[in-house]
Amino acid sequence: MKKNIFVAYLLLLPFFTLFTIFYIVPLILCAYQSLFKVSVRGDVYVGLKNYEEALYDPFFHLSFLNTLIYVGLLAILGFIPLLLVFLLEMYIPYNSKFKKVFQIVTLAPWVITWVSISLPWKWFFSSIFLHWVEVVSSIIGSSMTITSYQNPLTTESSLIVIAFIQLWVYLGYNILILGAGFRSVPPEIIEAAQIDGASKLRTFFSIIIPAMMPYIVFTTITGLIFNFQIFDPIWLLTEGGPEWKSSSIAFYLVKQAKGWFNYGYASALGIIIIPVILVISLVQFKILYKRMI
Amino acid sequence: MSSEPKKVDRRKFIYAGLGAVALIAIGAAAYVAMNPPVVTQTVTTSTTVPTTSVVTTTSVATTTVTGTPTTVPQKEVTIEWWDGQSGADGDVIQMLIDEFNEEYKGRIKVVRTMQGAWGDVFAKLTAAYKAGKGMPDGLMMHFTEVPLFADTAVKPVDDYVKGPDGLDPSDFNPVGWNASFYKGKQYAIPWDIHPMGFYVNINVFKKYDIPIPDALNSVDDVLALWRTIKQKGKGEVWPTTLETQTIDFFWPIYTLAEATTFLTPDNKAPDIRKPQWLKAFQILRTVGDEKLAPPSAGRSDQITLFGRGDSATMIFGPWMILEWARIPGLVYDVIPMNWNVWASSHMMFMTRANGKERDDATWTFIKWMHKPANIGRYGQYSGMPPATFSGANYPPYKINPINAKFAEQQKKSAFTPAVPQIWEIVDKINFYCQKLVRSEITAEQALDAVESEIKRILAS
Amino acid sequence: MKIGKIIVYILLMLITFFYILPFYILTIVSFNANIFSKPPQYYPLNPSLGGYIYLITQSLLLTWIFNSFIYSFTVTAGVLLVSTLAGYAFSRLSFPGRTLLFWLVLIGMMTPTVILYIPLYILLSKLNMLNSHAGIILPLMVSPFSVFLVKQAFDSIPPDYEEAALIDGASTLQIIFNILLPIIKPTLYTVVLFNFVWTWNNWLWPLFVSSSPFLFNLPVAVLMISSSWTSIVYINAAAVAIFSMIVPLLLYVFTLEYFMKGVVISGLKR
Repeated sequence: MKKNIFVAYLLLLPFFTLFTIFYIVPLILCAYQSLFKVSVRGDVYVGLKNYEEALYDPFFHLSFLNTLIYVGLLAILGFIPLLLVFLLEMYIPYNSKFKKVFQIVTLAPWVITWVSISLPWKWFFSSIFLHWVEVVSSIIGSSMTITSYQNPLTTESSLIVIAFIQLWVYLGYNILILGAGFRSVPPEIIEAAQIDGASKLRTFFSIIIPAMMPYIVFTTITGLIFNFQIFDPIWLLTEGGPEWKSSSIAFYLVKQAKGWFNYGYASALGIIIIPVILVISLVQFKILYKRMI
Repeated sequence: MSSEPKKVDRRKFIYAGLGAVALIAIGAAAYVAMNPPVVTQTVTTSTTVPTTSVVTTTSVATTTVTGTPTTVPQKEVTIEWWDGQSGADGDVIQMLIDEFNEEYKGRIKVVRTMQGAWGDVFAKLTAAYKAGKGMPDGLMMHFTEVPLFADTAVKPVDDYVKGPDGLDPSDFNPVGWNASFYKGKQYAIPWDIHPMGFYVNINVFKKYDIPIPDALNSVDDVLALWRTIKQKGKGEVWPTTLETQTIDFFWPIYTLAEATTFLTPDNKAPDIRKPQWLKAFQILRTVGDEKLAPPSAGRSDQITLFGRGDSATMIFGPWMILEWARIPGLVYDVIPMNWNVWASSHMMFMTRANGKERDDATWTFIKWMHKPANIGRYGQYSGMPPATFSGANYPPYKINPINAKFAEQQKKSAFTPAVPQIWEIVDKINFYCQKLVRSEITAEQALDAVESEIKRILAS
Repeated sequence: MKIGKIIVYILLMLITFFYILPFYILTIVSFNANIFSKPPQYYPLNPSLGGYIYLITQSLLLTWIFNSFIYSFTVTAGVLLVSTLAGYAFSRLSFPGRTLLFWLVLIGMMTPTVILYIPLYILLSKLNMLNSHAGIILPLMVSPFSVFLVKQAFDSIPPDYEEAALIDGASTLQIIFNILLPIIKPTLYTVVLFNFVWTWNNWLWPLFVSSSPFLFNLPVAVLMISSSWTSIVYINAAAVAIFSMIVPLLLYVFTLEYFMKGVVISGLKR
């Protein structure tokens, strides 16, 4: 028994050494730093003033609210990969090349850095999209002229555009996992249902989805965790969007630090945010994922 | 099955090998980390020292300027230079540095690091200063950084300016020169002063038969012009565009407020209840109400719309010259604005504690860059108006009529106040101005909100 | 039925189109198509290799490529090693503090990484590790998510699987590496690919830490070239962006099979 314990700790040592140095210690430093106002002329101790400020900071509140909207919206839109898996698996023959191409193409953005993949999107909305809008509106003969066009990334719905771009990047990844989940369902069950006369849709909802639940749970939870941290598309495409309407908490925090050099305040924001996110994540985790340890 | 274990073992060894490599790499990297990459001086003795050489780097501060270096050995001094200039002006800086290195081969070598966004430059300088190592010898920043870094990361340059190898203050545009001082001492040498310019798309004006003004004499003229364009343009063209998302938006706003400072003279409290600011905010609100500009436009949208003739005017900086040059068929001009407009200035700083030799080398570099031909070429290729009159008069720069117009506008420009919190203040002003162009608040409400924001920011 | 199938195909093709479109745009812009004109050019009317020439003449290009590889390889190797050991311990061994320590792993997993960058920056500056390769690599080796995945994978193996080997007197390491690892190969593929790709594409952290372009990786290089506030040379930015995608895309195409196998999420079946 003793040997077991000793071995266990030895095995855990590498991870937890790194974890302590690069997670725990920075958090402690962050908490310490949050009590100061940091500047090049020397840090000034301000006690809990940063926290007080954060409490009344409307931009912080807005960023937090936006983040909840992002997470909620993307969770709801999580039906899209599921739907696509349904269509792919139920309607397209198993060995279809098209399926393979589809999988490859949808997964491609995920393996590419946000910097590179955001460029064509940014340019697209300022050029080709603009042109199509004009063409379509002139065909329809609507009263929309050039003076009505607005780049979606700069309007108040920029949050929705960002959410869709985030969805677009992760779609292939979600389809991959859910597809594997679908294929893990024993085909006999599916056949039995169809012999009994159930429609494709019915089969999907009543039989397949429950059977692939662990995979759905996995994508939901990891989606949650990723979407809470949403940052790259906002920083690269909208810089917080008009009037901070697409800002997320990760964005606001980095903006405070890198944009305005308020490292002390940014640290305080981090100390506030982390427990909040943890609680929300853990609650969701617990609900969805019954067996945890 | 018997072959399986062997395969596995092999793979395991590969993993273990990788792990070992990783650990070794980490170890090596950690060792290097203890000595972060620092530009080391290369000490080479030059055997061919012309006795009639011009002032050597080591004798700058001495009062006797001799042509013959006596007991001082020749060694190549390497200095590190930072900036945040990307795009075309970055390329020109690099070109000039390459030339300098060629001319001063064996004596001085400048190694340039483009740090990325300007915010990165300041953050990294701060971090290096606090760590006590890793600072460059000199760097390019803006006038806004003078009070921020004065006497901490950067050092006064008065001795060099007034020394035997100094610079002539009368050659510099006073707007920039004065902004390089902090508490009586000078901390930077202005490099360029880039004001806003009023661009007009001539094709659009001709198409709708709109008279092109020779000059704009007040901000009221601007509003009147926009209204004229709206009326004559039959709704087919935007009078102007405003980049309502980022800091770029602030620059036209400050221009519309006649570059009037929004802080008290001691920079400690807001002072924005001035008629110029009220008018500027009212104009923005009018722009929103009368649809004189798209309520939402990113910078690339602005460029696209102006370039294609879908918008008639644009208030923006001289760097657009290069952008417009890339659009075939675009015919444009710059109309003088006869009041003080927003401007900013790149300036060259020297950092502290590098030792006399490297300071001398850095100063030599700074001085060389300010030679009319060099600073003039910077202006010529980047469109950025030099901070010196001799640079602005450099014929290849001046001969471009657009450049000449910006050089003139430069004389009618003013900087924002220089406080460390300027970026946050500007972002907050932007926020309320965005609400104005969307007709969400009134000008008075915007004034109130901005005043209390500035108060809060300065107090914290 | 047939109509249903046709509609499905059309829908999927539409989606495929929107995945190819950004890559297409980047490619044509990199060859000097002007998509901002009216009407936009849908293919380059005046093709030019200027962007790629600009790319190749970047003096630090090899450094950036090298850095990208180094970061990805070392981080992935480190994560793999560290997570395998820890995952095994959590899964197969019982020891005091097991629950608590695993909770720490979960908490680490759910903490937004971006938010951690600022305190990490402060820590590294105190340790004088800013502007160094180690400063970039070491913090990225902390991957609670990988530990989680490996533990789940080990969990799916019946508990008495290694009993025979134990009776034969095999050491722990032998058990892990010779017996158990081969079974969880798919999960290991996932860990490797996930960490490799994520580190390769990480642009924010190297940007935070480095104050010299000698430490940049490819994504940071793309950012530098594509985000000038004066004038963006689209052709150059596009060429560099395309280049930055090559390695991940190639890797991805060749390892897709492994990747798809790796998605057999063991351990979640209960």
